[in-house]
Amino acid sequence: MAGKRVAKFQTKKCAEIVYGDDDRISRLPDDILVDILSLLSLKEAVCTSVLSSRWHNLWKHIYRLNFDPHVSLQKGTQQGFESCKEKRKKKFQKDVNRWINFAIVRHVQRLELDLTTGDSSRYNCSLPQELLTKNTSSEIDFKPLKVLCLKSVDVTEEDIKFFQSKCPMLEELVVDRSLKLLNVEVCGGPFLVLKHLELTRCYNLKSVKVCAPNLTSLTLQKVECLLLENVPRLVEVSVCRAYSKVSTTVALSAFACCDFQLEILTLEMKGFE
Amino acid sequence: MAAETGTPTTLTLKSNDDELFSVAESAAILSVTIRNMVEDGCAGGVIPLDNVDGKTLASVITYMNGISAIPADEEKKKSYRDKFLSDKDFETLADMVLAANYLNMSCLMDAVSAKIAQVMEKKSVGWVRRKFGIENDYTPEEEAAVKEEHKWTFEGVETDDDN
Repeated sequence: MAGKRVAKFQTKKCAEIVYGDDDRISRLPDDILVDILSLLSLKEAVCTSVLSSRWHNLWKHIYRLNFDPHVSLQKGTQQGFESCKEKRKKKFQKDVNRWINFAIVRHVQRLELDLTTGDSSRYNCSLPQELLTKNTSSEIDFKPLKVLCLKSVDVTEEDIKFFQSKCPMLEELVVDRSLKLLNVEVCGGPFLVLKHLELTRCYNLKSVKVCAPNLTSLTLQKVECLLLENVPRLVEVSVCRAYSKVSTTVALSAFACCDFQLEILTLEMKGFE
Repeated sequence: MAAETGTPTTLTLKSNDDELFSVAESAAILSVTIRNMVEDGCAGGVIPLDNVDGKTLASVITYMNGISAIPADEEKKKSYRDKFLSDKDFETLADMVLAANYLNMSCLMDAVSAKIAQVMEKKSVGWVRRKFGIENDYTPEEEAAVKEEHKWTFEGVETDDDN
């Protein structure tokens, strides 16, 4: 219930006069309008540019890119996207950096970052380089990390090396849709506790070298060169979209020459000729 | 904070059109602006809220009382907010979002913004202009140019003869 009105001094006619019918939403300041636009889909936010001159550029300040997965993202979206891309990208990257920083300084054990947005997954972010190179800094401690899952994040070879050296407890590493990943090397002695490795939809991936004594499961997609060494515990291997002959033969020969107790081997052969 | 005596502390808020409202401190401190005043010890007398009119303040206080009576259950709070905003017209929503902004009440602010966004969704340009009282100050040529610039966004949106 409303608070008890102690006294009523005058009616509120003035308010009605000040806010006439003609400026109902215009009296909201830009930052509130941007808040509202940020809740709309990108398409609808851009659409507001035609309302009036004040709205012409407002949508470019939205801080959330909200794609509608049901709308096909064709040329138009690209176009709209390009318009605010640079600015948004900077802002977005800043957010990502903040999230990761936030998580790491709080000693998370499981860090999952999924930036996949419908079909428009070309908008990847990188990992915060300043965080990754600040390896001497005492407050940034990656040690507790056990699970790292990065989707649609531009993870590089160097990033993977970095996490390997900084996260001695890392048991699970998942990278999905990083176009910057070319050659991956996950190698270590008995102290490498990594159990699960998953590299999917990294379409530029050329070679993978794994030498991990505690590894139990490995998931790969479209790999051209695979080298497995010292994987005595590997029991589950899955190669999705192994449709290229190269991938399959490479994969099979790599597994064959390894002396291990494989229990499950999944080869997704869709489109195999 | 409330005194240990068992009687909850009550604050008196004054709108910009001089209406006075009493509200339990525990509910009022949902507003960070008011909470800061309370913590700084300047909430003893009447708290003037110069940017909020009486009608809006009454509504905000209804919200404060309603939401603070719900125990920590995000689902229930959300359904309370939805219900609270469901019968508000746009004019009231605009007043509320301004008040929430001034009072620094993020939960109300987010809920009202979401409600306004929801009203705008899937509506034609003409409809939004009329509903929100936006005056189109583009010349027909300018408007056509803006539409051309973002042609893709108007696909599938009904065109209607505006104004």
